[in-house]
Amino acid sequence: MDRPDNGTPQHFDDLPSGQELPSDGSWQFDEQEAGDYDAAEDAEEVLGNDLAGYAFLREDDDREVRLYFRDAPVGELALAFRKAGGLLLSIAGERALVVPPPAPTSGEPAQADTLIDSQNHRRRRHRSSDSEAGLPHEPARSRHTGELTLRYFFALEDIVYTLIITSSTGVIESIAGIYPQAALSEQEVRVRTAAIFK
Amino acid sequence: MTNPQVTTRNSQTFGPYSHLLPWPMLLNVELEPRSEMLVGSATIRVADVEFGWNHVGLEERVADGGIDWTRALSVVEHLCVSCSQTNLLCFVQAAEAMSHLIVPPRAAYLRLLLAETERIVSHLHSASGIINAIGLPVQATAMREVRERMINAVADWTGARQQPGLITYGGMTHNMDEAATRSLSLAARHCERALRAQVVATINSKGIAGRLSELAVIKGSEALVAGLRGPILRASGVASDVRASFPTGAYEDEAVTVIVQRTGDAFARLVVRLLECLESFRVIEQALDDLPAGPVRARGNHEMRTGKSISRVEGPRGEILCWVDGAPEGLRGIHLSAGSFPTLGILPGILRGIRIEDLPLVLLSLDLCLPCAER
Repeated sequence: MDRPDNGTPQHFDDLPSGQELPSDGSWQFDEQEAGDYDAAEDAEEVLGNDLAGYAFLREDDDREVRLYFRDAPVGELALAFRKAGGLLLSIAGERALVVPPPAPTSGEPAQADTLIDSQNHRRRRHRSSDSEAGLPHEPARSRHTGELTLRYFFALEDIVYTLIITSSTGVIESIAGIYPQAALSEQEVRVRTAAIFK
Repeated sequence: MTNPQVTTRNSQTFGPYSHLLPWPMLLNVELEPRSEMLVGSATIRVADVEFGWNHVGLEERVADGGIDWTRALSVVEHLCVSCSQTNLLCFVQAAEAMSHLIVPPRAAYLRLLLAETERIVSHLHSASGIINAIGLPVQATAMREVRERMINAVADWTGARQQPGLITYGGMTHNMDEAATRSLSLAARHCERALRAQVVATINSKGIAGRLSELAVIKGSEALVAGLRGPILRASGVASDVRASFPTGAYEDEAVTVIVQRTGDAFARLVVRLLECLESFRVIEQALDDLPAGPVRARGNHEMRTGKSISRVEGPRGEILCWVDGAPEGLRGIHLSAGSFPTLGILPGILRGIRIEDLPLVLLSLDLCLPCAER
């Protein structure tokens, strides 16, 4: 419904039922009586404003909104969702893949794609271990030691908001105080990515 | 490796492999000091649960170099037996949304049939386990027979008792012929009739109600704060079901009634699961009546695109969320949040104050699926 900031209705149809328009034009829009018919839109708008202060990219999909952040205060973002009535669905985290610089070989085309490159890397490592059979080899280490990225999945009605937050330090604010169920997910992410939740 | 049961002065350790535990886990319980002397009435004062024995490393495996799309179908489907079709459906729907693939209406209905039969089979497995643990093996066996007939009916169509591998990107790999449709419809009708009598008898049984009522109560507010999902949440009085709230696929056409109980105890959870079985039978019969004709996979190019997407599906144990990150070469990232996952967080709190002999009943009533939860 279109109405100005002071809440005055634009059309007669916008009036709550059972109320007549005073002849002196002194009609005041009663938010209480109007109910929450546009509460969901308001909540989304407020939430959008809160998030816009921190996000640097927004992608809208069919039933998903993806928002990208860098070193953002997660607590404030979670609080904005809490105020809007959002539910925390899940938290996922990952470390960026650190691919070691390839050995200088002549005639081999450079692999731009990480997926293909990592497969090649695995094959190379396999061949290497075959040729050095019997020798003590270095234990396998995770190559996911790069920058920490966390994904928070919030649901607001039928829309899922995915907050993609990159942390340069690996230290992230815990939201377990706002969403208690986050404690378990944070614990899982901590084990998998060595993230620090403060 | 820890011994199955190690008893110290005032504490006991169960697991990771124990007949008292439905899944491998390590359960350390500290008993009330006074109740230690009374055999069979020891009460748990503090419980500590350790998980990790069911971790399959799905997300790490995908993140470490990616897997191709065909392999991804198999990996996700074989994550777990009892939630395999809904896990796979959630993953495939996310991949389809990412690649803008269109699913033919008949395929959407066949997917619904797989998801609902899986719900029945899973719920009956849980319910028969609880009734057997109470000490009513005859009733439990009757329930298992219904479950078995339903598994066989689906196997006649799919060719596999479990994890048939039918759901694929853009539809289904195999269609359902007229004979299989009639056979499944007939089996569903017979099973529904047999189960209805058992459900009525179970709900009216004073023995079952007396044993399960007020056991491991989870209030609605607590369930919401803990982020619980599925039958556990609905047994606490919260009407939350993705099939009804945010329907996708054939659920957009087939209305589902959300089953809710208020008391939040083990009996309410049992009743919710049994009534949901009857509701699933109704949905299956309705879907078979409305089953549209046509192909189950659209012709043309099913090539995947680069992108990210999510999907939400109601599994037997609650809402499943799947996030995928893909490219034409393969799947680069996945996150699967299963319905059982939030329940792990409240397990120590639920076990606090219960008698040690009620431990198997409480764990069975929660119907955990650790392979899905730990991934």
